[in-house]
Parts: sequence; C-alpha cells; structure tokens
Amino acid sequence: MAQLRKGVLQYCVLALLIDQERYGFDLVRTLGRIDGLVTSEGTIYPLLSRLKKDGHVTTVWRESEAGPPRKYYAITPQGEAVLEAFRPEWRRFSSAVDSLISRGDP
Amino acid sequence: MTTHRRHHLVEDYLADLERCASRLPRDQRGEILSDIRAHVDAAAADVASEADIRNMLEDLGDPEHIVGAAAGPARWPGDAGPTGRLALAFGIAALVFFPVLGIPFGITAVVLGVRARRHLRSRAASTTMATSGVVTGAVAVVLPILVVALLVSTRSSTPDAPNPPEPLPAPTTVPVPATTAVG
Repeated sequence: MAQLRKGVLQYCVLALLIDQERYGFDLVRTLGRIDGLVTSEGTIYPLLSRLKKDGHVTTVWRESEAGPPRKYYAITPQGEAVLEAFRPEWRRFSSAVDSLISRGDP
Repeated sequence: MTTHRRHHLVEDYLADLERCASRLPRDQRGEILSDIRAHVDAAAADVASEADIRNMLEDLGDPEHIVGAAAGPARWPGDAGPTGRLALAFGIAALVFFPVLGIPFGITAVVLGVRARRHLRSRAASTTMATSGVVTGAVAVVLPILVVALLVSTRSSTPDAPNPPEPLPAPTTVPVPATTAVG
C-alpha cells in the first residue's frame, strides 16, 4: 500500500492545484486530513520539489500578512495534461482491482 | 522573520533533520530544510500545548524518512550516497591504474571514503561501500611503496647473493704523465 500511496499522491496534489494555487502548509494539511492518504506529512515537500523539477508545478513567493513570505505552488499546463491522462487510467485500474478483490468478499 | 522562539522539541527536530539532510546535494538540502522550517513555523499558530507540538511533529514524520523521500530510492543495497559511491569508484580506478596512476586515485578514494564513513556512521547506515573505497584506495597506495621499499632493501644487502661476485679484472697500469712541478 505504501508504494501505491507513493505513486498516486502526486496526482492528488495536482488535482488540489487545478482550481487555485496553494501554499505548502495548506496543501499538506488538506492532504493530511484525508484519512489514510498520507502517513508522513513531511514527505509531501520532497514530492512537491519533484513535481516542480518535472515541470508539473511552478512556485512563486507571495507576501503574507500572517508572517514571512509564503511559497505558493501552481499547476502548469504540463501538469494539467498529466492529470488529464491519469484520470481515465486510474478509473480503469481501480475498477478492475475493485471487481477482482470483491470476489469472495461477502 | 519569526517573531517567536521555537519550542525546544521543534529545535531538536530541525537539528535532527539537518543532520539527516547532510547527505543530500546542497540545493536539495537547502530546499527541504527551508520547506520544513516554514511548515513548523506555520503550524506554531495552531499549537496550544506541548502535546500539540508532539502530535504535529509526529504527523510530519521521522526526519530520516523525509530525507529518504527527497533522496529517492537507493540504487542498490548498501548504497552510501554520492561520496561513498565516488570513494568506491576511485578505489576501483586506483587498482585498475595500478601502480603509478593508482596512487593519486587511491589517495582520493581514501579521503572520500573516510568522509563518507563519518556521514554514514552518524546515521547508523551501512558503510560497506565507503569502506571498500578506503581499503582499495589504501592498497593501491601502500602496495607500490612496499614493493619499492622491498626492492631497495634487497639491493643493498648482498651476503646471500645467489651468484658469486665476478672476479675483479686485474688493474691495468695506466701510464701517468709525469707532472712537472710548477716552478
């Protein structure tokens, strides 16, 4: 399951960024609140770095009244395309797994 | 600027993270440290008690785990990170280019390997690869020196020479020109 979570988490991050840019803490807390999605919140930051390195997100610093400037993450067109491609793949995959594992499940 | 001092638990956590992150390349290290620092500072606003802080740090996760996520999976078991890999590479090169070029390669391997071992030991990680670099490097440096020393010492000692020394040729008289005293 750990491997599965690791593989899927990046698409969850991208989905959260589709509508608006978010800063790191906000993203991490939102994901952390979804039960069972993330085991270690801190590992989301390296994931965000990798998404940036792959060109799926960009970062921009913005001033904040709450304190020091915050790093905001925004999805790129490339990231949107990746998410678009993932959706049907995931639906097909998860329904296949669903039907298989529900055998013998009363 | 942070307007508050961090709780000692948070400071300990960040120090731990810094230690673990020392094996990352510099730009990655800076980024993860800055991200986590910003996180704990942002979280400090919601924190009311020490129990809250402990929960927050637990949710964040083990520093070693976070650094592991940043470093990516180890290429092979016993992977010693970039310095350890370099140490082994130089150690192998030292043996390949044995004996002459082997010496500078070997010295590099030993220096890098020792440095890598220090990092790895502080994280209780396997030092096999780095140690191999040190050993091969050391062999490539010490062996030629030993061989040369051995050769030099056998040249200078003659009693058990296998062949008897050749008889000296009879001295030939060389006519010496009469030296005329300078008057």
